[in-house]
Amino acid sequence: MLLTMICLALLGGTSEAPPMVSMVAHAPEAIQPGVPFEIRCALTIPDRWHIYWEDPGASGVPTRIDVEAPDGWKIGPLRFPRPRRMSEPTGMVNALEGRIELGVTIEPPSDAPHGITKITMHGMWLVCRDRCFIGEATRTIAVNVDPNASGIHSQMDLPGPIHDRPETDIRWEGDSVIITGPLDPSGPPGFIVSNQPGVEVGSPTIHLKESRFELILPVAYDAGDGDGHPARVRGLLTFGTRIVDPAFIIDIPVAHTVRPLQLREGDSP
Amino acid sequence: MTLSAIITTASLLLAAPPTSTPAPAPAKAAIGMPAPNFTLTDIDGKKHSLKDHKGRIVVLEWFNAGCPYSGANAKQSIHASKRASALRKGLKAVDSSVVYLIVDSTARNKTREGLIETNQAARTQWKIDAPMLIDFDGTVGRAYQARTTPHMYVIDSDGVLRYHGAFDDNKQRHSEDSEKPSQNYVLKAVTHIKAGKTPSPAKTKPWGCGVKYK
Repeated sequence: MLLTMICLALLGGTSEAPPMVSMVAHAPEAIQPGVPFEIRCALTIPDRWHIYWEDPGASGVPTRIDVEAPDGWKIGPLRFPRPRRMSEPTGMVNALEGRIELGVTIEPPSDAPHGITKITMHGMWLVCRDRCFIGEATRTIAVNVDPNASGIHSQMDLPGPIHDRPETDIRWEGDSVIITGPLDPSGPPGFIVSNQPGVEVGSPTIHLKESRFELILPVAYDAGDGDGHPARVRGLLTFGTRIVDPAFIIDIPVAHTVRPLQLREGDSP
Repeated sequence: MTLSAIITTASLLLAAPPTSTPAPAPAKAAIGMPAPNFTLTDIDGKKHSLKDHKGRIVVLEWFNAGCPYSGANAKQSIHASKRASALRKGLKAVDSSVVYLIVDSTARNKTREGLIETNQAARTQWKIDAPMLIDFDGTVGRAYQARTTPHMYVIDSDGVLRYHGAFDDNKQRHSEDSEKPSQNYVLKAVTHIKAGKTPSPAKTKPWGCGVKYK
């Protein structure tokens, strides 16, 4: 892994001194045509400040890393670490603090030209404490496309898909998502919702039996509020309470068994 | 709609006898229900009550002069980028009687006088031509459950809350979406109301700085 670029992002703002967030980008030294590889962006957030997860929660704005690569290169979704749930006067927010890493999987085409290729990452985040500032940084890294590259690339310790967890099953039953599987020594299961337009996920009900758990997520769907977005249930299945404890990505389409909502009256903000 | 709201609504529908008396405004704002009334003083000392605007569509914008998505000097600010003034102009084109009110509930570590001065400066800087109301104790913000700046609300001419949520779909900050025109949910909701339709979406996730209540 090559440390490719370090930048310090001076944040725009007002008379109050804005916090400084450092952004470090990593990529493999050499990659093979047609073989996916991962790039990471490490952000270091000053003490007592926080930025936001993919779903910020009650308030805030999601952190973004937009990646630009040559035509024909496939860029995967941004992968976030597990957030810390933080209570604010406006409700619970999903905060990222300290040093965090975000990852993106990139797949070059099998006929990618050999030699150096540049990949640009533009990061943008809202960093808050008693007040908020926007931070931005744009950096370009170079990777060498080489058919003789080792092909051994680092694996990121970010949350992976639920399918990576043995003996764990996810299914629909009527209006609910049911997740079952073995318990984890880190602690009891939980769920952090990444809200999708039109889809409302209620508080989970958790049943523990011997060494297994059953987590039930009630789901409601309003196509009108979906505003054309695909209806999906997305979030993190978590174990324990620490941000380093295991977490797995849940991302499934809303089943046809979920009845679309018709009533709007009484809809609470 | 939340699951609890469905249950609450269903219970009310089953329990309430038919009546022509308008439902009382709930303590908390809710889509399809009368919006909580309020009386607030603007930065010029003039009082504004929601009930005084009955018969007209009212738009509320939660504001914070120090937030880069709201009133601060940043390209993402709806005021600095002139998206807020464009919205007010667009609303007038749809309905010349629309009332647009800006509410500031961000009072943490501030004095009332300081908040008024900050808002007066923002009004001058961004040429804001809408009343700017001070909700220093946060009562109105909490009743509307205002979470972010901006957080938008549309109340119809009968005083019923018809939309709340984001200012727009915030495409400006999504480079991959830059070729798609952004849509303003507030303008869309008011247009739907004027056409006799139910606003769709009636609710979106607001984005911006968290409201820093006192």
